[in-house]
Amino acid sequence: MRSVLIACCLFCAMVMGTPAFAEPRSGTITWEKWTFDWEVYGNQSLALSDVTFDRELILSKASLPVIKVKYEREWPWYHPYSWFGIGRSTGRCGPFQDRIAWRHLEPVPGCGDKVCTRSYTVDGVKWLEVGAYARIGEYHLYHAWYLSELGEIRPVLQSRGLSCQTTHQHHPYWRLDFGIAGEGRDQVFVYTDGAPNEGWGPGWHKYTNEVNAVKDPPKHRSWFVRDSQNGHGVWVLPGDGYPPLMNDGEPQSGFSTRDVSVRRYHEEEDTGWLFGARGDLGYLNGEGVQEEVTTFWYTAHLPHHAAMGPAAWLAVGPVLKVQR
Amino acid sequence: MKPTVRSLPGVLVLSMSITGLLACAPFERKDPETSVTKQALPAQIPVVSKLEFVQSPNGGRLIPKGDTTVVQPKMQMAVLDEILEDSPIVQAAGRHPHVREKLGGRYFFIDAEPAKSKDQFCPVSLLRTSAQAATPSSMIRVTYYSYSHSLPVIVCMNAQEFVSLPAIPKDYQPPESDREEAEAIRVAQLDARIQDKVKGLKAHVILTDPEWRLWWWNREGHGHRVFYVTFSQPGSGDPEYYAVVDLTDEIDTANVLQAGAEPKR
Repeated sequence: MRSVLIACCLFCAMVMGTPAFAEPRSGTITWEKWTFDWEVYGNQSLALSDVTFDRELILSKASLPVIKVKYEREWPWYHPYSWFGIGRSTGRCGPFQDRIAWRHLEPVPGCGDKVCTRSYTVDGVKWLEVGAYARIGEYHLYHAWYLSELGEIRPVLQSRGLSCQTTHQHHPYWRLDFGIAGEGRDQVFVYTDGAPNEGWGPGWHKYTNEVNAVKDPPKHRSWFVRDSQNGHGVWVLPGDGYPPLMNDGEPQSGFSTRDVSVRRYHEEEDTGWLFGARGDLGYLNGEGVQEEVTTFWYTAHLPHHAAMGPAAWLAVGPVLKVQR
Repeated sequence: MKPTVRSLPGVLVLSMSITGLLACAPFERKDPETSVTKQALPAQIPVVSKLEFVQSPNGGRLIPKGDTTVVQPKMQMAVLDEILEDSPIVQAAGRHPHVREKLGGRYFFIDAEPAKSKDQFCPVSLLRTSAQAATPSSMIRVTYYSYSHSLPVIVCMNAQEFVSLPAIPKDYQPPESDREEAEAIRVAQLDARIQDKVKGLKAHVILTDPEWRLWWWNREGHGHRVFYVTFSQPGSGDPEYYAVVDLTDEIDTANVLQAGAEPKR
């Protein structure tokens, strides 16, 4: 993927004459058992592609096409000013659809580069951080991928800042194109405590068609995408929350209503966010997803209470865990 | 209850209601499972590693709570060049008569990027049908916003040659551009309500989407491309003044829909 982009841009450079500026916007990283390309392209924030763990593909691409933001009403429902569209029923500002592009990036604080790579050791486990720091409006956004030597990927969105002094929610939509083992025969399963055994084991259900779904923390609902032949797969686990948050938040009625969407992969649908600030994810055509390359959308819901002020950083994101 | 002639209207109404409800229910297709061997799935949800965050020493972001090691991964980086508004490709797109008609008199350039081979708007297959020189890397997607027609405009270019003007999804709004941001700030700073108060403050711009409102005097930009401009102390993320700016009009003063001090928490 990166080589295609480089070819594109070399071509552009030829037809444009002198390059406007020259900063690395893509690269390849090899670390522990991981190898992947990164790029900032197409208003999809910092994306990883051709991600392999222990020499086997687990993700063909992972990106963050949009962070939708919805502010609370300035007028409560019982106030006449919010009736029948008379007044500002849903607030003065927003909703927003933040799409991180290269032009939004600033040097990562404490790192210096616009795309920062750092290694950490946490409780004896090595982690690699690859992140980008963006400014959109008053928001400070840090979007990073944390990869552990043990086969975990944590997509994390950190946010601070207020556009209006009102409580609001950020809804990051991560797009995960699987294609595990590079074979295009993914199976997607959902696990729920107490669900009947359909032949895959207690609690497991196989998705046959495109679907939208929500979390169910009391029943430990989680998802597993695997290659149908070798059984190697990746768990998608809802995040437990990074304090002070306790989890990945709850869907917001009428604005961002699901946590997970499974779609059959189509390259032409990888064109950024086309659904506006008020729209939700489309591409739900009832297509079969069995033994196909699948696209798995994970949406977190980050609540930001105005009373917390603009300085407090908040972070959300799921856990992807390789299973071999 | 035995059906009678007298109960017939009720039965009809009931069956029509059920049919209507089924027709209105969200369509969800469900195929049977494919006949593959059912390999066992993991019996337990895996235990994940601990990853906590703390404020970085400079407060610039959260960092993992642990030891930072100096070991850097093996990296190769590639330089990608930006296609600017004054590049020959964008200039050529803007000169094409079909594009000029679509843009109208007032428009802004948003961005231009090489299109992927199956780009939704500018797939390389367009080149093959138009018998133009088809190399996978030659298609460029140029995006504008026409304020004259309140519509995004995407132009597919094969180098400096016009290829097509694809249809745009109804709700699509391209991201805000540098020039739009600069213009929105300029216009907001001219507004008499905040003009004297925002000097020395840093302006920020974000694309917004005003809702529809019943009264025409309260339709603050619905259906237009509208920017929310805030003024704050640099780096604070804490707005002190705001302006809602619609760049549709040529007259600056007509473009600030609202402006004032940001209400306190």
